[in-house]
Amino acid sequence: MKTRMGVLVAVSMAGILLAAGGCKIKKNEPSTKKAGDGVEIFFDNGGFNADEFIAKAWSEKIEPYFRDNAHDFAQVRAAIATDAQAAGKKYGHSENPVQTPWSFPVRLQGTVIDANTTSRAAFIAVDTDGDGKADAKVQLGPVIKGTSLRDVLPFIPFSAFKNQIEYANVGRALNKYVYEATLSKFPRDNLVGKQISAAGAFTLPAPGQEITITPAEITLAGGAQ
Amino acid sequence: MTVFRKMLLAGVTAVTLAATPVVAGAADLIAIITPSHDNPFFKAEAEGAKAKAEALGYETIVLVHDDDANKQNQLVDTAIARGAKAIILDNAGSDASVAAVQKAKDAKIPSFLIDREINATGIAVAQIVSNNYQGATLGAEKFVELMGEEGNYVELVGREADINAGIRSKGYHDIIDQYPDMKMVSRQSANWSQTEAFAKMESILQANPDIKGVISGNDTMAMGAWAALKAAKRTDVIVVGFDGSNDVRDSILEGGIKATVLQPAYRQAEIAVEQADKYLKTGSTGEDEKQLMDCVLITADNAGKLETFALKD
Repeated sequence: MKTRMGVLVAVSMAGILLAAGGCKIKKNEPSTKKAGDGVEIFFDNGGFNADEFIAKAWSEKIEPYFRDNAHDFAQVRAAIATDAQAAGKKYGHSENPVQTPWSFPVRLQGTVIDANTTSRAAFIAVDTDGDGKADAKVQLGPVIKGTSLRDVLPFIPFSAFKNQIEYANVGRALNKYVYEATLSKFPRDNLVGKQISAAGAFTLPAPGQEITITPAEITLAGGAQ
Repeated sequence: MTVFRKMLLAGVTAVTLAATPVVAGAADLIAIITPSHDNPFFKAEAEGAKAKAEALGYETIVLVHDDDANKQNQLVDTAIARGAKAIILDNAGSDASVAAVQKAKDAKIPSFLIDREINATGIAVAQIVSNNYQGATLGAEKFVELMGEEGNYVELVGREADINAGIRSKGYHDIIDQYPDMKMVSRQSANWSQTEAFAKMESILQANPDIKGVISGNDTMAMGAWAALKAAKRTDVIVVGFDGSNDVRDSILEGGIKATVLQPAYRQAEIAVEQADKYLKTGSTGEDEKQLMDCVLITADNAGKLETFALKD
């Protein structure tokens, strides 16, 4: 059943890929593309445009997914504390739980109790239960770590792409899209003490490690944003 | 040469003919084909596959292709001639290996790929690979943090025909290039090789004495670079590798190399054999063909738990 669904998704994804990127012709020689700073990446041939793919998928599928499927953060956190595997099955997604950790779509409200906006990997630490302690880090970018946003989406499986490079490009394009559309407009100053509301995803951290949420949407309470 | 090859072929045929009736009823054979065991990573995956296959009641034949696509082709012929029921393969090139895997498929032998993908689907039954991109971004994030988000650095890249060289370099640059004060002064391929990395690092150091860090596409190259840095009394340089070998673990614990990224090579090989066994018994692995396994950042904090490409709990 799982495999059949995967195949269906893969086939429909392939359709989207074809529509977005045109026909792909396999070459015998490693083809290369200049990255942003002129570095050549072998096999990254530019035949697939991840930015276009994400721009299209965002309004059709990704934004609705977070709107409709984000679970209450407190609920998910409590379930993970009890039994992470069971929590994953109930609230999360993993293409293959034996090999890849669970990712969870969540919605949270809370108070910013710490902020580091000097690093390019900026983040805020948020207290969601009023005990004065941080319950999660929320990434603000521009450097966004990890691919939780991609990994939580059941309709963007690795199998739908030619290789890891295309799949990686999709993860990066999604982070970039969220940064440009939302996070870049989020205020950076005097955040401590403010109320925020966000929806996004996190990947199950190693035991004892903090939860890091990548937001798909985030707002300051009081309409400041 | 030709005569020798003919004799060899005749030998193989004779063995096959002689062996066939005997083997019938005996344990089924799984062929395990990887790059050279000189790199402990490949040795670990071959050992992981062999141990699991034997535990499941198979006979094994372990072969190395030395990253030579022609040799790999001959080894697949050998596996076919020996009547292998399945092939566990860490391939010799993401484009060049498609034909070899297709040949096995045509001979009705399913292939289970580990570590490296091929640029085609529907030919192998499974392609179980480390999430090299995820791992590379972990390594790069740590590297940037250790560098204080600024400074001159060198990148050592793996063998260009191997997609993992590309994907890791991409993961590094997707992170590092977002920090404008990180300046790459040299980027060279050392072909995954320790000796080559040593020589490249020596000459890079002469041209660029003002480097602060080295990020390497794998651990053997990181070891080569570290040896060159030590010889030049430049142990202040921050080195980050990729693989999670015991050599780099020991260096991290001694305060040498700062970090690496563990690929769960041993477990990955075991999983490939488990799926091969399931496929041979039921006709399906129950999983998608292409499967990713996440990597883990290794620093002084958890290096003590690392042993033969696996983290102990």
